[in-house]
Amino acid sequence: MSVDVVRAGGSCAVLVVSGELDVYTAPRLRECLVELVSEGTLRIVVDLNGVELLDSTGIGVLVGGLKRIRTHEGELALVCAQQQLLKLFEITRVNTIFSVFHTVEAATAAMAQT
Amino acid sequence: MRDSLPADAVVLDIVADPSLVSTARVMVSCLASTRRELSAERLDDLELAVSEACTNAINSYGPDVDAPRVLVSWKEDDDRVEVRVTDRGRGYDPAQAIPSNSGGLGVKLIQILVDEACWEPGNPGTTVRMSLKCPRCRVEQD
Repeated sequence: MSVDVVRAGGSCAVLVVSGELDVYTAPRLRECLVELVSEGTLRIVVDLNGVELLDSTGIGVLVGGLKRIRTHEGELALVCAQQQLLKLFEITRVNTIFSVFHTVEAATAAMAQT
Repeated sequence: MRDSLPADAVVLDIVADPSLVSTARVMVSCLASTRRELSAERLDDLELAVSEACTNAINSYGPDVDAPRVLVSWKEDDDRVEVRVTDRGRGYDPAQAIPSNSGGLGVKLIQILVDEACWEPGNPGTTVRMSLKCPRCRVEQD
């Protein structure tokens, strides 16, 4: 798994995640989210379009990141257009707590309005 | 842990380490994609279910356990496959698993992703049995 941070202007960052996000790799994403929030990045978009597998540990890290950022009155949105991941979001009801967009452009545009 | 496995099962015996969960996924994915008629979606479902079962198996061991191991086995017949994930950890009751933590969420996902799933308590540990209905791949004859 790899995580690349792309600054999107202001206090917004896009995390581009690719590969397998599971019990072994998810801690790296957690560290990245914690670091961004602690340095004051309070608008985060996590781009999951390059993710080949997402498990419950990965979902836990995303939910943990959302909780952390909301305690600082920030927001975290997901980008995903893959059917398998969208199905997983429905099963786990993750789609009821996150804003999910199909493209990074749509997510950053929505972030700019918050 | 191998005692109760069928003689013709394919077995992967790994250290209970998160870095090896992907190895279990690869084994099951390779067997399923080459030997069974499965859609890409069902293959992904099986891979994720195996991943969740291995994660729970690894997490069932306490920090001070000496040489913890996880056994993943594959058994098939004409119309179904069964993957078993066995540990010798502290054991857990899937009925008590809470979906709001990742272990509990893993149990819920397994129940949804495969056709049948059951948790058998060991002495010690747990075996998760997951089965999927799918025919064997047809072999083209000349």
